[in-house]
Amino acid sequence: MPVEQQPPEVLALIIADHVHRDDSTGKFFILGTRASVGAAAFPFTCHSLTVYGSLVDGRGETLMRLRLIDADEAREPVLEFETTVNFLDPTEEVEIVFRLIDLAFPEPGDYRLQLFAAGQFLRERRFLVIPLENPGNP
Amino acid sequence: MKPTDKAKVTVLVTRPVPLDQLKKYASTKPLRRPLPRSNKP
Repeated sequence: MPVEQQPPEVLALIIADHVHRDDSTGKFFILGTRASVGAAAFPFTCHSLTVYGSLVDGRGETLMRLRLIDADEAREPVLEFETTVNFLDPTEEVEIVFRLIDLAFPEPGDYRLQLFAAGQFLRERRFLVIPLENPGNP
Repeated sequence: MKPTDKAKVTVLVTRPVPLDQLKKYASTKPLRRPLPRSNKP
């Protein structure tokens, strides 16, 4: 019987406009945190969004999965993505940044960003897509 | 997974503390965790 892999723990899961990585230090700079986005019309394409995660207590090669779905899962996911991260030691904090482009939201509402690892659910956060009332006004 | 989604995502990974420094200075004492919350709305 295969032994179930222990997934990492989420210390932070942040949605932002942009995350810059400084080449000299390797540090991430999170710019423009957000929990929602405004849209002038639907379907709405969000051209750029970034997700920052800080994880600890992972072990070895771990399959990570990021999903962006509507809260009721009535429609196809806006995004589903998988990647593998290697956790060298359980005490190690690993920072991971997902740069997302051209996310298509079919209608306004409550969407959920979900993070999974090693086949297990880790964390979910809300992301609201809100119609702009006066899209012509700055 | 939708085949298009790989083209929509770029992944960056960093390790803020080098492994040799972790081995030297990080305690193996586990981090404390809050009690699990109920899922009631």
